[in-house]
Amino acid sequence: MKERLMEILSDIRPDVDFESETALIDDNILESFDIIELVSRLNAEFDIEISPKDLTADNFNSASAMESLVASLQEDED
Amino acid sequence: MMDASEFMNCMARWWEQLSYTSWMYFALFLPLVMIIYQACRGRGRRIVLLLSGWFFFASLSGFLLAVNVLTSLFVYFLGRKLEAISLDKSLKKKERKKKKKLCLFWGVVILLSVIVGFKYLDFIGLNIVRITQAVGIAYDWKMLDLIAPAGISYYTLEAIAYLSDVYWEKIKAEDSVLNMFLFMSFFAKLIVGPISRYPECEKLFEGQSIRLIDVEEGYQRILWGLFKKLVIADQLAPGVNSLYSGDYMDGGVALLAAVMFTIQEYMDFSGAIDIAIGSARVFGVRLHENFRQPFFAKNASDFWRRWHITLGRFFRDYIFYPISFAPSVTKLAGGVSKKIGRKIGRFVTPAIALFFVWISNGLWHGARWTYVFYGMYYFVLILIENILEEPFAKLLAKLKLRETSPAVRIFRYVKLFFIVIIGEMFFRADTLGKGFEMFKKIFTDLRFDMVIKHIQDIGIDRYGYFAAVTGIIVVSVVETLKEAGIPVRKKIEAIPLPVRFAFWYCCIFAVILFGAYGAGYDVEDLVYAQF
Repeated sequence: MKERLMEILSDIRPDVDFESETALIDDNILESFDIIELVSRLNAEFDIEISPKDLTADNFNSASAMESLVASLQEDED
Repeated sequence: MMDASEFMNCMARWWEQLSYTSWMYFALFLPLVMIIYQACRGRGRRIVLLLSGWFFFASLSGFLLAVNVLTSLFVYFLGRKLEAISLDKSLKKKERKKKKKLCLFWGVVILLSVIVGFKYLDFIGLNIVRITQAVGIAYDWKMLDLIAPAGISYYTLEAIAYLSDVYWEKIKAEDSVLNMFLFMSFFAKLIVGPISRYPECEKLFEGQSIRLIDVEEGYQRILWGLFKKLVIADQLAPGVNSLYSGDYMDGGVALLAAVMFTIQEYMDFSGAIDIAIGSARVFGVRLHENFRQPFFAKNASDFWRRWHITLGRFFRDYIFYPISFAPSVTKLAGGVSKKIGRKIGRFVTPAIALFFVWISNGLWHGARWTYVFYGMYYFVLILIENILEEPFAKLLAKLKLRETSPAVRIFRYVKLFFIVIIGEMFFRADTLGKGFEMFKKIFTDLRFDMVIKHIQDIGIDRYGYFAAVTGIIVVSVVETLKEAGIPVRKKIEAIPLPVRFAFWYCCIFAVILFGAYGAGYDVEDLVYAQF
């Protein structure tokens, strides 16, 4: 899953080092336009439904936080 | 001895003067609340803060207090209801969601109806008259001339955010009605915000003892706010009023008016926010910042992440994202993307959501076409900016220029300067027609010979200019240092005690000497208190 996630992230924002960044939201690195695209692609790719309630800084501050979010939503779907 | 009627008159006068910038507020009201608060314990402290907020409200209008109390009760019970549905395991997940959605929908509709009733009915009525006249139908609208309760635009948004968060189960519904009353009427954020989230105010409910460090830092922040408001904004206010209401207008004068208003508005609003944040800090409550050096922004989107931050984050979290993820919008965007390709198609969803954000932003400021235009102006600019971002980055790469190179930065600052100035020009204009007239003059009648004459003749004397310009320089230096990551207040803290005291005394004297206080001056109403 991580590989696909990293591919999507670097496709949306090739200028960001997603391996090391841990404050993507807090430091305004990811902007709201990026979030919209990211969420729609994550939903399609992983067959999940990210809703506005999941849009917290904690869930999107780093690639690993996003990975956990996707995993937990996939579990919910099951 | 003062007799009873004199005493009552005196009290009534004081009441009328209770605003954030009056001596009454920070030299009497706030210290008195602090003393009584500290003398009480536990629940008593919350009651003191609540009664202080209600007293503040009542000093503005008893009716306003009634609206606030009823709204608080409504939000409290609706929050409890939403939570009860979430916990009702006898319902299926889908049923729960449906019931909750209905509950939230009607809650938001009712909250918005109150605000629409007070602020927008005349506007709607008058525009219906215009339309009916245009199509030849006789219809008349009798003006209601309702005065919107102060603070209603702020606490209504706080209430909507609270209910949405309970709906999404991000927070638990408040079970103490006292806490809900306090959240909705805390005097520090009553008039101009910052628009706060429920968890940010939880410190309020703890009733912790007042700490000296909080009082010191809180009052320093209040002093800084007074400096911006009284030494800069209020000194410029008569000039701005005179320029906007004057008969003469050329391009240079239009630019002067817009620049002066932008400075006045920033100093007025951010100064009031400093006083609000400082007042809350005294009680150990840290309200969210509302400004972060906005004039250092790299573009319009970035500007709005630094200017009126709490309004921007409200629109982002409760309008932009929910609309972006609405099934009908994603379906529409998906369909369009398939037809025109992902490159442009990816902007469809944000464009739809952004439109609703900016029409709401415009209308939030009030029922005027100038505000609607202001919202649409930023909608178009921010959308274009996002679409052009990639081509612009490619162009820079071709020219072998980096984002951080001085030429690019200067280009961005100049561009932002004009974007903000033009936006504020329309925002302050009495009518949309006047705004367009000013805008047109910049291109058709740009001359500067009359600017000097106007500077000398708009009701600001040399003393006022000296105070305002010195103030602007001081604020600019502080903001530049903050942007560079230098914590100015902490640096001042590190200075030896006598020098530090001398510094703060100088600030107090600057406010007294150069502030638009005393005989011959009227403290201007806070610009953002009217929204």
